[in-house]
Amino acid sequence: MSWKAAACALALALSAPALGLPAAVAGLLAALATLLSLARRWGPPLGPSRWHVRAMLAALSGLLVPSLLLAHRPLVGLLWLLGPCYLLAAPLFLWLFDQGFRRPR
Amino acid sequence: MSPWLVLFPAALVAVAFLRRRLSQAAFFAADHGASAWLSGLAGTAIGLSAFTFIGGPALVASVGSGALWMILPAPLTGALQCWVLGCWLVGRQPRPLSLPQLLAEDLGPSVRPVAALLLAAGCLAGLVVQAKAIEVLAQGLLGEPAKLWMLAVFLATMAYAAAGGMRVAVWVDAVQGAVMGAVALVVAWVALRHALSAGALLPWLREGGAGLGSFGQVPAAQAFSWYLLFTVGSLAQPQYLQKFFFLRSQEELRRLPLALTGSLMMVLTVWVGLGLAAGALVQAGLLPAAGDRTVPLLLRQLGPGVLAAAAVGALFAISSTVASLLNLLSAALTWDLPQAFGRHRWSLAWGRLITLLAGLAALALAASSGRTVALLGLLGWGFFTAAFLPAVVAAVGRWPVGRAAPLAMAVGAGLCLGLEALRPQLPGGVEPGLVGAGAGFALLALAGRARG
Repeated sequence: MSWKAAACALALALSAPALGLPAAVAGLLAALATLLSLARRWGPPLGPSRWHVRAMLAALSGLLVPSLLLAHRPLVGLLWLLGPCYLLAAPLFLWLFDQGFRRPR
Repeated sequence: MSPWLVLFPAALVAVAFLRRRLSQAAFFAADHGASAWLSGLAGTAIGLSAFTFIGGPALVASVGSGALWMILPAPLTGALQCWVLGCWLVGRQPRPLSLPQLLAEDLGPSVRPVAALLLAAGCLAGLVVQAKAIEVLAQGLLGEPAKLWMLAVFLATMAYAAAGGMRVAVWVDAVQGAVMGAVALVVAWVALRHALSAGALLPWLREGGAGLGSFGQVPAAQAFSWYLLFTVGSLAQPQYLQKFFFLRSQEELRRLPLALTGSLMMVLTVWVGLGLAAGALVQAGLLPAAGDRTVPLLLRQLGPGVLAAAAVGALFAISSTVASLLNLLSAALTWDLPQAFGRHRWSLAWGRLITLLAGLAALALAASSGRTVALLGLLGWGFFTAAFLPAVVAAVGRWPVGRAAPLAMAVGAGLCLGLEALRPQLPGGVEPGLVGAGAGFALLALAGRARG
Protein backbone atom coordinates (compact mmCIF):
# COMPACT_ATOMS: atom_id res chain seq x y z
CA MET A 1 0.00 0.00 0.00
CA SER A 2 2.73 2.43 0.99
CA TRP A 3 4.45 2.04 -2.40
CA LYS A 4 1.24 2.77 -4.30
CA ALA A 5 0.65 5.83 -2.18
CA ALA A 6 4.26 6.96 -2.66
CA ALA A 7 3.92 6.56 -6.43
CA CYS A 8 0.71 8.59 -6.40
CA ALA A 9 2.38 11.26 -4.29
CA LEU A 10 5.32 11.46 -6.69
CA ALA A 11 3.04 11.65 -9.72
CA LEU A 12 0.99 14.38 -8.06
CA ALA A 13 4.08 16.37 -7.07
CA LEU A 14 5.55 16.11 -10.59
CA SER A 15 2.33 17.10 -12.29
CA ALA A 16 1.61 19.93 -9.87
CA PRO A 17 3.50 22.68 -11.76
CA ALA A 18 1.78 21.67 -15.02
CA LEU A 19 -1.55 21.97 -13.29
CA GLY A 20 -0.59 25.34 -11.84
CA LEU A 21 -0.53 24.07 -8.25
CA PRO A 22 2.33 24.78 -5.86
CA ALA A 23 4.25 21.66 -4.85
CA ALA A 24 3.09 22.27 -1.27
CA VAL A 25 -0.52 21.62 -2.27
CA ALA A 26 0.46 18.42 -4.02
CA GLY A 27 2.49 17.38 -1.00
CA LEU A 28 -0.36 18.16 1.33
CA LEU A 29 -2.90 16.20 -0.66
CA ALA A 30 -0.51 13.30 -1.20
CA ALA A 31 0.27 13.08 2.50
CA LEU A 32 -3.38 13.19 3.45
CA ALA A 33 -4.18 10.61 0.76
CA THR A 34 -1.57 8.30 2.27
CA LEU A 35 -2.92 8.86 5.73
CA LEU A 36 -6.53 8.31 4.83
CA SER A 37 -5.64 5.23 2.79
CA LEU A 38 -3.94 3.88 5.88
CA ALA A 39 -7.03 4.65 7.90
CA ARG A 40 -9.08 2.11 6.01
CA ARG A 41 -6.71 -0.79 6.63
CA TRP A 42 -8.16 -1.93 9.92
CA GLY A 43 -10.53 -4.80 10.10
CA PRO A 44 -14.22 -4.82 10.89
CA PRO A 45 -16.20 -3.54 12.59
CA LEU A 46 -14.13 -0.35 12.75
CA GLY A 47 -12.55 1.73 10.07
CA PRO A 48 -13.85 3.62 7.09
CA SER A 49 -14.48 2.07 3.70
CA ARG A 50 -12.67 3.00 0.53
CA TRP A 51 -15.64 5.18 -0.40
CA HIS A 52 -15.34 7.19 2.82
CA VAL A 53 -11.62 7.75 2.33
CA ARG A 54 -12.20 9.01 -1.20
CA ALA A 55 -15.06 11.22 -0.07
CA MET A 56 -12.96 12.71 2.70
CA LEU A 57 -10.07 13.40 0.36
CA ALA A 58 -12.36 14.92 -2.26
CA ALA A 59 -13.89 17.14 0.41
CA LEU A 60 -10.44 18.26 1.57
CA SER A 61 -9.30 19.06 -1.97
CA GLY A 62 -12.55 20.85 -2.67
CA LEU A 63 -12.06 22.99 0.38
CA LEU A 64 -8.35 23.75 0.21
CA VAL A 65 -7.58 24.17 -3.48
CA PRO A 66 -10.05 27.07 -4.03
CA SER A 67 -8.22 29.02 -1.35
CA LEU A 68 -5.38 29.39 -3.87
CA LEU A 69 -7.73 30.89 -6.43
CA LEU A 70 -9.13 33.27 -3.81
CA ALA A 71 -5.73 34.21 -2.35
CA HIS A 72 -5.88 37.81 -3.59
CA ARG A 73 -9.59 38.40 -3.01
CA PRO A 74 -9.41 40.00 0.47
CA LEU A 75 -12.91 39.50 1.83
CA VAL A 76 -13.90 36.46 -0.22
CA GLY A 77 -10.66 34.65 0.63
CA LEU A 78 -11.16 35.21 4.36
CA LEU A 79 -14.82 34.23 4.22
CA TRP A 80 -13.92 31.06 2.31
CA LEU A 81 -11.52 30.07 5.11
CA LEU A 82 -13.94 30.84 7.92
CA GLY A 83 -17.04 29.47 6.18
CA PRO A 84 -16.59 26.32 4.10
CA CYS A 85 -13.06 25.42 5.25
CA TYR A 86 -13.70 25.89 8.97
CA LEU A 87 -17.32 26.02 10.10
CA LEU A 88 -19.03 23.95 7.41
CA ALA A 89 -16.27 21.36 7.14
CA ALA A 90 -16.85 20.13 10.70
CA PRO A 91 -20.33 18.61 10.19
CA LEU A 92 -19.19 17.12 6.88
CA PHE A 93 -16.21 15.30 8.41
CA LEU A 94 -18.26 14.22 11.45
CA TRP A 95 -20.93 12.78 9.16
CA LEU A 96 -18.33 10.93 7.10
CA PHE A 97 -16.77 9.50 10.27
CA ASP A 98 -20.12 8.37 11.58
CA GLN A 99 -21.04 6.74 8.26
CA GLY A 100 -17.70 4.96 8.16
CA PHE A 101 -18.09 3.80 11.74
CA ARG A 102 -21.64 2.60 11.31
CA ARG A 103 -21.09 0.42 8.26
CA PRO A 104 -18.76 -2.55 8.76
CA ARG A 105 -16.31 -3.01 5.92
CA MET B 1 -5.89 38.24 42.63
CA SER B 2 -3.37 36.39 44.75
CA PRO B 3 -1.48 33.56 43.08
CA TRP B 4 -1.83 31.46 46.24
CA LEU B 5 -5.61 31.26 45.82
CA VAL B 6 -5.16 28.60 43.16
CA LEU B 7 -3.50 26.34 45.71
CA PHE B 8 -6.51 25.89 48.03
CA PRO B 9 -8.79 23.81 45.77
CA ALA B 10 -5.83 21.80 44.54
CA ALA B 11 -4.71 21.07 48.10
CA LEU B 12 -8.23 19.91 49.02
CA VAL B 13 -8.33 17.49 46.08
CA ALA B 14 -4.82 16.26 46.88
CA VAL B 15 -5.67 15.57 50.53
CA ALA B 16 -8.84 13.71 49.51
CA PHE B 17 -6.90 11.36 47.20
CA LEU B 18 -3.61 11.02 49.04
CA ARG B 19 -4.67 7.99 51.11
CA ARG B 20 -6.33 6.14 48.24
CA ARG B 21 -4.65 3.12 46.73
CA LEU B 22 -4.68 3.69 43.00
CA SER B 23 -3.82 1.07 40.40
CA GLN B 24 -1.62 1.91 37.43
CA ALA B 25 -4.75 1.92 35.24
CA ALA B 26 -6.34 4.51 37.54
CA PHE B 27 -3.23 6.66 37.84
CA PHE B 28 -2.31 6.72 34.15
CA ALA B 29 -5.61 6.07 32.34
CA ALA B 30 -8.46 7.08 34.68
CA ASP B 31 -9.43 3.39 34.95
CA HIS B 32 -10.41 3.41 31.24
CA GLY B 33 -13.80 4.59 32.44
CA ALA B 34 -14.39 7.97 30.79
CA SER B 35 -17.34 8.81 28.55
CA ALA B 36 -16.87 10.49 25.17
CA TRP B 37 -17.75 13.93 26.53
CA LEU B 38 -15.53 13.64 29.60
CA SER B 39 -12.64 12.39 27.51
CA GLY B 40 -13.29 14.90 24.71
CA LEU B 41 -13.44 17.93 26.99
CA ALA B 42 -10.35 16.80 28.90
CA GLY B 43 -8.54 16.03 25.65
CA THR B 44 -9.30 19.46 24.25
CA ALA B 45 -8.12 21.20 27.43
CA ILE B 46 -4.93 19.12 27.44
CA GLY B 47 -4.26 19.72 23.76
CA LEU B 48 -4.55 23.49 23.84
CA SER B 49 -2.08 25.83 25.49
CA ALA B 50 -2.13 29.50 26.46
CA PHE B 51 -0.94 30.21 22.91
CA THR B 52 -4.58 29.77 21.88
CA PHE B 53 -5.62 32.76 23.98
CA ILE B 54 -2.61 35.07 23.53
CA GLY B 55 -0.04 34.10 20.89
CA GLY B 56 -2.45 32.81 18.23
CA PRO B 57 -4.69 35.89 18.10
CA ALA B 58 -1.55 38.08 18.17
CA LEU B 59 -0.28 36.17 15.13
CA VAL B 60 -3.56 36.84 13.29
CA ALA B 61 -3.16 40.53 14.14
CA SER B 62 0.39 40.61 12.76
CA VAL B 63 0.28 38.31 9.68
CA GLY B 64 -3.46 38.26 9.00
CA SER B 65 -5.58 35.35 7.85
CA GLY B 66 -2.51 33.19 7.11
CA ALA B 67 -2.34 32.46 10.85
CA LEU B 68 -5.76 30.82 10.62
CA TRP B 69 -4.17 27.90 8.75
CA MET B 70 -2.87 26.62 12.09
CA ILE B 71 -6.43 26.10 13.32
CA LEU B 72 -8.02 25.25 9.99
CA PRO B 73 -7.41 21.50 10.55
CA ALA B 74 -9.71 21.64 13.63
CA PRO B 75 -12.83 20.33 11.79
CA LEU B 76 -10.85 17.33 10.52
CA THR B 77 -8.50 16.34 13.33
CA GLY B 78 -11.13 15.00 15.73
CA ALA B 79 -12.49 12.54 13.16
CA LEU B 80 -9.01 11.73 11.86
CA GLN B 81 -7.62 10.96 15.32
CA CYS B 82 -10.57 8.69 16.06
CA TRP B 83 -10.15 6.87 12.75
CA VAL B 84 -6.41 6.43 12.91
CA LEU B 85 -5.71 6.22 16.64
CA GLY B 86 -9.02 5.41 18.31
CA CYS B 87 -9.81 2.43 16.09
CA TRP B 88 -6.25 1.22 16.66
CA LEU B 89 -6.12 1.27 20.42
CA VAL B 90 -9.56 1.39 22.05
CA GLY B 91 -10.59 -2.19 21.26
CA ARG B 92 -7.42 -3.82 22.65
CA GLN B 93 -7.45 -6.30 25.52
CA PRO B 94 -5.73 -5.90 27.90
CA ARG B 95 -5.89 -2.12 27.58
CA PRO B 96 -2.44 -0.52 27.28
CA LEU B 97 -1.54 2.51 29.41
CA SER B 98 1.02 4.41 27.37
CA LEU B 99 2.26 5.16 23.87
CA PRO B 100 5.61 3.36 24.34
CA GLN B 101 3.73 0.26 25.51
CA LEU B 102 1.45 0.40 22.47
CA LEU B 103 4.34 0.83 20.06
CA ALA B 104 6.22 -2.03 21.71
CA GLU B 105 3.22 -4.33 21.31
CA ASP B 106 3.14 -3.73 17.55
CA LEU B 107 6.76 -2.95 16.63
CA GLY B 108 8.75 -5.01 19.10
CA PRO B 109 10.10 -4.53 22.63
CA SER B 110 13.22 -2.60 21.54
CA VAL B 111 10.97 0.38 20.75
CA ARG B 112 9.82 0.84 24.33
CA PRO B 113 12.91 2.30 26.07
CA VAL B 114 13.68 4.65 23.16
CA ALA B 115 10.09 5.84 22.98
CA ALA B 116 9.96 6.30 26.76
CA LEU B 117 13.16 8.37 26.82
CA LEU B 118 12.11 10.56 23.88
CA LEU B 119 8.70 11.02 25.43
CA ALA B 120 10.18 11.95 28.81
CA ALA B 121 12.56 14.48 27.21
CA GLY B 122 9.77 16.04 25.14
CA CYS B 123 7.43 16.21 28.15
CA LEU B 124 10.07 17.86 30.33
CA ALA B 125 10.74 20.44 27.63
CA GLY B 126 7.00 20.97 27.26
CA LEU B 127 6.69 21.54 31.01
CA VAL B 128 9.46 24.14 30.94
CA VAL B 129 7.73 25.94 28.09
CA GLN B 130 4.43 25.91 30.04
CA ALA B 131 6.22 27.33 33.11
CA LYS B 132 7.66 30.14 31.01
CA ALA B 133 4.22 30.70 29.49
CA ILE B 134 2.81 31.33 32.99
CA GLU B 135 5.53 33.93 33.51
CA VAL B 136 4.64 35.67 30.25
CA LEU B 137 0.93 35.43 31.07
CA ALA B 138 1.51 36.98 34.49
CA GLN B 139 3.45 39.86 32.97
CA GLY B 140 0.70 40.52 30.43
CA LEU B 141 -2.55 39.61 32.18
CA LEU B 142 -2.34 38.42 35.78
CA GLY B 143 0.02 40.98 37.27
CA GLU B 144 3.34 40.59 39.01
CA PRO B 145 5.11 38.83 40.64
CA ALA B 146 5.38 36.51 37.66
CA LYS B 147 7.67 33.94 39.32
CA LEU B 148 5.20 33.56 42.16
CA TRP B 149 2.40 32.77 39.68
CA MET B 150 4.62 30.19 38.02
CA LEU B 151 5.35 28.55 41.37
CA ALA B 152 1.74 28.63 42.58
CA VAL B 153 0.19 27.20 39.40
CA PHE B 154 2.80 24.47 39.15
CA LEU B 155 2.52 23.49 42.82
CA ALA B 156 -1.27 23.37 42.57
CA THR B 157 -1.22 21.19 39.45
CA MET B 158 1.55 18.97 40.84
CA ALA B 159 -0.50 18.44 44.02
CA TYR B 160 -3.61 16.99 42.37
CA ALA B 161 -1.70 15.28 39.56
CA ALA B 162 0.55 13.46 42.04
CA ALA B 163 -2.20 12.58 44.52
CA GLY B 164 -4.84 11.36 42.08
CA GLY B 165 -3.10 10.92 38.73
CA MET B 166 -5.39 11.00 35.71
CA ARG B 167 -8.21 9.56 37.89
CA VAL B 168 -8.56 13.10 39.22
CA ALA B 169 -6.96 15.10 36.44
CA VAL B 170 -9.43 13.89 33.80
CA TRP B 171 -12.27 15.55 35.75
CA VAL B 172 -10.30 18.69 36.50
CA ASP B 173 -9.23 18.93 32.85
CA ALA B 174 -12.79 18.42 31.62
CA VAL B 175 -14.11 21.21 33.87
CA GLN B 176 -11.23 23.42 32.74
CA GLY B 177 -12.03 22.58 29.10
CA ALA B 178 -15.69 23.54 29.56
CA VAL B 179 -14.70 26.84 31.22
CA MET B 180 -12.18 27.53 28.44
CA GLY B 181 -14.91 27.04 25.83
CA ALA B 182 -17.33 29.39 27.58
CA VAL B 183 -14.61 32.01 28.17
CA ALA B 184 -13.48 31.78 24.53
CA LEU B 185 -16.99 32.42 23.21
CA VAL B 186 -17.55 35.41 25.49
CA VAL B 187 -14.13 36.99 24.88
CA ALA B 188 -14.40 36.53 21.10
CA TRP B 189 -17.90 38.03 21.02
CA VAL B 190 -16.95 41.06 23.18
CA ALA B 191 -13.76 41.68 21.18
CA LEU B 192 -15.55 41.60 17.82
CA ARG B 193 -18.32 43.87 19.12
CA HIS B 194 -15.69 46.29 20.42
CA ALA B 195 -13.89 46.40 17.05
CA LEU B 196 -17.26 46.86 15.33
CA SER B 197 -18.41 49.70 17.57
CA ALA B 198 -15.00 51.40 17.30
CA GLY B 199 -15.61 51.53 13.53
CA ALA B 200 -12.49 49.48 12.79
CA LEU B 201 -13.77 46.06 11.67
CA LEU B 202 -16.06 46.81 8.73
CA PRO B 203 -13.76 49.32 6.98
CA TRP B 204 -10.85 46.86 7.34
CA LEU B 205 -12.87 44.04 5.82
CA ARG B 206 -14.37 46.29 3.11
CA GLU B 207 -11.09 47.88 2.03
CA GLY B 208 -9.21 44.60 2.21
CA GLY B 209 -5.96 45.27 3.99
CA ALA B 210 -2.75 43.34 3.46
CA GLY B 211 -3.67 40.81 6.14
CA LEU B 212 -6.79 39.49 4.41
CA GLY B 213 -7.34 37.07 1.53
CA SER B 214 -6.68 33.34 1.85
CA PHE B 215 -3.15 33.61 3.21
CA GLY B 216 -2.68 37.16 4.50
CA GLN B 217 1.04 37.91 4.68
CA VAL B 218 2.00 34.25 4.98
CA PRO B 219 3.39 32.49 1.85
CA ALA B 220 0.97 29.84 0.56
CA ALA B 221 3.58 27.10 1.02
CA GLN B 222 4.02 28.03 4.70
CA ALA B 223 0.25 28.05 5.24
CA PHE B 224 -0.11 24.58 3.69
CA SER B 225 2.85 23.33 5.73
CA TRP B 226 1.12 24.51 8.91
CA TYR B 227 -2.05 22.77 7.80
CA LEU B 228 -0.21 19.53 7.17
CA LEU B 229 1.84 19.74 10.37
CA PHE B 230 -1.19 20.39 12.55
CA THR B 231 -3.26 17.72 10.79
CA VAL B 232 -0.86 14.79 10.74
CA GLY B 233 0.99 16.01 13.83
CA SER B 234 -2.17 15.52 15.88
CA LEU B 235 -1.65 11.76 15.39
CA ALA B 236 1.73 11.78 17.08
CA GLN B 237 1.32 13.95 20.17
CA PRO B 238 1.39 11.75 23.29
CA GLN B 239 -0.89 14.16 25.14
CA TYR B 240 -3.43 13.83 22.29
CA LEU B 241 -3.31 10.03 22.43
CA GLN B 242 -3.93 10.08 26.17
CA LYS B 243 -7.68 10.65 25.81
CA PHE B 244 -8.08 7.31 24.01
CA PHE B 245 -6.61 5.50 27.02
CA PHE B 246 -9.30 7.12 29.20
CA LEU B 247 -12.15 6.05 26.93
CA ARG B 248 -14.63 3.47 28.24
CA SER B 249 -15.65 1.59 25.08
CA GLN B 250 -15.86 1.53 21.31
CA GLU B 251 -19.39 2.87 21.53
CA GLU B 252 -17.98 5.95 23.28
CA LEU B 253 -15.35 6.20 20.54
CA ARG B 254 -18.12 6.67 18.02
CA ARG B 255 -19.35 9.74 19.93
CA LEU B 256 -15.87 11.12 20.60
CA PRO B 257 -15.33 13.05 17.31
CA LEU B 258 -18.39 15.19 18.03
CA ALA B 259 -17.16 15.96 21.55
CA LEU B 260 -13.63 16.66 20.36
CA THR B 261 -14.52 18.76 17.34
CA GLY B 262 -17.26 20.67 19.16
CA SER B 263 -15.15 21.58 22.17
CA LEU B 264 -12.05 22.32 20.09
CA MET B 265 -13.87 24.65 17.71
CA MET B 266 -15.59 26.37 20.61
CA VAL B 267 -12.27 27.21 22.30
CA LEU B 268 -10.65 28.23 19.01
CA THR B 269 -13.34 30.87 18.55
CA VAL B 270 -11.11 33.07 20.68
CA TRP B 271 -8.28 32.74 18.15
CA VAL B 272 -10.53 33.96 15.33
CA GLY B 273 -12.50 36.59 17.27
CA LEU B 274 -9.66 38.17 19.22
CA GLY B 275 -7.34 37.90 16.22
CA LEU B 276 -9.67 39.62 13.76
CA ALA B 277 -10.60 42.31 16.30
CA ALA B 278 -6.94 42.99 17.14
CA GLY B 279 -6.00 43.04 13.43
CA ALA B 280 -8.74 45.56 12.62
CA LEU B 281 -7.90 47.80 15.58
CA VAL B 282 -4.18 47.76 14.72
CA GLN B 283 -4.97 48.71 11.10
CA ALA B 284 -7.18 51.55 12.33
CA GLY B 285 -4.43 52.82 14.61
CA LEU B 286 -6.53 52.17 17.72
CA LEU B 287 -4.20 49.49 19.09
CA PRO B 288 -0.39 49.41 18.91
CA ALA B 289 1.19 46.51 17.00
CA ALA B 290 3.25 45.15 19.87
CA GLY B 291 3.84 41.47 19.02
CA ASP B 292 2.65 39.15 21.78
CA ARG B 293 1.67 42.16 23.92
CA THR B 294 -0.97 43.22 21.38
CA VAL B 295 -3.61 40.86 22.79
CA PRO B 296 -3.11 41.80 26.49
CA LEU B 297 -3.38 45.46 25.43
CA LEU B 298 -6.66 44.72 23.61
CA LEU B 299 -8.01 42.76 26.59
CA ARG B 300 -7.32 45.76 28.83
CA GLN B 301 -9.43 47.86 26.46
CA LEU B 302 -12.28 45.36 26.89
CA GLY B 303 -12.49 45.84 30.66
CA PRO B 304 -11.39 44.05 33.84
CA GLY B 305 -14.08 41.34 33.60
CA VAL B 306 -13.01 40.21 30.14
CA LEU B 307 -9.34 40.49 31.13
CA ALA B 308 -9.92 38.24 34.16
CA ALA B 309 -11.96 35.75 32.09
CA ALA B 310 -9.22 35.50 29.45
CA ALA B 311 -6.59 35.08 32.17
CA VAL B 312 -8.58 32.23 33.73
CA GLY B 313 -9.03 30.56 30.33
CA ALA B 314 -5.31 30.80 29.58
CA LEU B 315 -4.36 29.56 33.06
CA PHE B 316 -6.69 26.57 32.72
CA ALA B 317 -5.19 25.81 29.31
CA ILE B 318 -1.73 25.73 30.88
CA SER B 319 -2.75 23.81 33.99
CA SER B 320 -4.49 21.01 32.06
CA THR B 321 -1.50 20.62 29.73
CA VAL B 322 0.89 20.55 32.71
CA ALA B 323 -1.15 17.85 34.48
CA SER B 324 -1.08 15.71 31.33
CA LEU B 325 2.66 16.17 30.70
CA LEU B 326 3.49 15.36 34.33
CA ASN B 327 1.48 12.15 34.12
CA LEU B 328 2.96 11.14 30.76
CA LEU B 329 6.46 11.72 32.06
CA SER B 330 5.73 9.70 35.18
CA ALA B 331 4.34 6.86 33.02
CA ALA B 332 7.43 6.89 30.81
CA LEU B 333 9.85 6.68 33.76
CA THR B 334 7.96 4.50 36.25
CA TRP B 335 5.90 2.26 33.95
CA ASP B 336 7.59 1.94 30.56
CA LEU B 337 11.29 2.11 31.36
CA PRO B 338 11.22 -0.41 34.24
CA GLN B 339 9.06 -2.79 32.19
CA ALA B 340 11.41 -2.46 29.23
CA PHE B 341 14.19 -3.73 31.51
CA GLY B 342 12.17 -6.59 32.98
CA ARG B 343 10.85 -5.01 36.15
CA HIS B 344 7.09 -5.53 36.04
CA ARG B 345 5.89 -4.27 39.43
CA TRP B 346 4.63 -0.71 39.43
CA SER B 347 4.72 1.44 42.54
CA LEU B 348 2.20 4.21 43.19
CA ALA B 349 4.70 5.95 45.46
CA TRP B 350 7.25 6.16 42.64
CA GLY B 351 4.58 7.34 40.22
CA ARG B 352 3.70 10.17 42.58
CA LEU B 353 7.31 10.99 43.41
CA ILE B 354 8.34 11.26 39.75
CA THR B 355 5.30 13.47 39.08
CA LEU B 356 6.49 15.86 41.79
CA LEU B 357 10.15 15.72 40.78
CA ALA B 358 9.28 16.37 37.13
CA GLY B 359 7.36 19.49 38.13
CA LEU B 360 10.20 20.71 40.31
CA ALA B 361 12.77 20.03 37.58
CA ALA B 362 10.69 22.00 35.08
CA LEU B 363 10.41 24.91 37.52
CA ALA B 364 14.16 24.89 38.10
CA LEU B 365 14.90 24.82 34.35
CA ALA B 366 12.36 27.56 33.66
CA ALA B 367 13.95 29.75 36.33
CA SER B 368 17.40 29.28 34.75
CA SER B 369 18.72 31.16 31.72
CA GLY B 370 16.44 32.15 28.86
CA ARG B 371 18.84 30.54 26.41
CA THR B 372 18.31 27.09 27.86
CA VAL B 373 14.57 27.56 27.83
CA ALA B 374 14.57 28.75 24.23
CA LEU B 375 16.51 25.65 23.26
CA LEU B 376 14.15 23.38 25.17
CA GLY B 377 11.20 25.17 23.65
CA LEU B 378 12.17 23.68 20.32
CA LEU B 379 11.09 20.29 21.62
CA GLY B 380 7.43 20.86 20.97
CA TRP B 381 4.77 19.76 18.50
CA GLY B 382 7.29 19.26 15.69
CA PHE B 383 9.57 17.13 17.89
CA PHE B 384 6.82 14.70 18.80
CA THR B 385 5.67 14.62 15.16
CA ALA B 386 9.18 13.79 13.95
CA ALA B 387 9.82 11.21 16.67
CA PHE B 388 6.50 9.38 16.81
CA LEU B 389 4.46 9.86 13.61
CA PRO B 390 6.37 7.32 11.46
CA ALA B 391 6.34 4.77 14.28
CA VAL B 392 2.62 5.28 14.97
CA VAL B 393 1.73 4.95 11.27
CA ALA B 394 3.96 1.87 10.95
CA ALA B 395 2.34 0.29 14.00
CA VAL B 396 -1.17 1.11 12.84
CA GLY B 397 -0.51 -0.13 9.30
CA ARG B 398 1.41 -3.18 10.59
CA TRP B 399 4.43 -2.43 8.40
CA PRO B 400 7.12 -5.12 8.61
CA VAL B 401 9.83 -2.75 9.87
CA GLY B 402 11.83 -5.16 11.99
CA ARG B 403 14.13 -3.35 14.40
CA ALA B 404 14.24 -0.10 12.43
CA ALA B 405 11.56 1.66 14.47
CA PRO B 406 13.81 2.84 17.36
CA LEU B 407 16.36 4.12 14.82
CA ALA B 408 13.64 5.94 12.84
CA MET B 409 12.40 7.61 16.03
CA ALA B 410 15.87 8.72 17.06
CA VAL B 411 16.83 9.93 13.56
CA GLY B 412 13.53 11.83 13.13
CA ALA B 413 13.87 13.54 16.50
CA GLY B 414 17.54 14.37 15.97
CA LEU B 415 16.94 15.78 12.48
CA CYS B 416 14.06 17.89 13.76
CA LEU B 417 16.23 19.36 16.51
CA GLY B 418 19.13 20.03 14.14
CA LEU B 419 16.89 21.80 11.62
CA GLU B 420 15.16 23.80 14.37
CA ALA B 421 18.57 25.19 15.32
CA LEU B 422 18.99 26.30 11.67
CA ARG B 423 15.42 27.55 11.29
CA PRO B 424 16.28 31.15 10.25
CA GLN B 425 18.25 29.80 7.26
CA LEU B 426 15.52 27.39 6.13
CA PRO B 427 13.41 28.21 3.05
CA GLY B 428 9.76 29.09 3.71
CA GLY B 429 7.44 26.13 4.06
CA VAL B 430 10.14 23.74 5.33
CA GLU B 431 8.95 22.52 8.75
CA PRO B 432 11.62 20.65 10.75
CA GLY B 433 9.00 18.38 12.33
CA LEU B 434 7.75 17.31 8.90
CA VAL B 435 11.28 16.79 7.55
CA GLY B 436 12.16 14.67 10.61
CA ALA B 437 9.00 12.64 10.16
CA GLY B 438 9.79 12.26 6.45
CA ALA B 439 13.24 10.88 7.29
CA GLY B 440 11.68 8.46 9.76
CA PHE B 441 9.15 7.31 7.15
CA ALA B 442 11.94 6.83 4.60
CA LEU B 443 13.93 4.68 7.03
CA LEU B 444 10.90 2.56 7.89
CA ALA B 445 9.98 2.17 4.21
CA LEU B 446 13.55 1.03 3.43
CA ALA B 447 13.46 -1.42 6.32
CA GLY B 448 10.10 -2.74 5.14
CA ARG B 449 11.44 -3.17 1.59
CA ALA B 450 14.55 -4.95 2.85
CA ARG B 451 12.35 -7.41 4.75
CA GLY B 452 10.22 -7.96 1.65
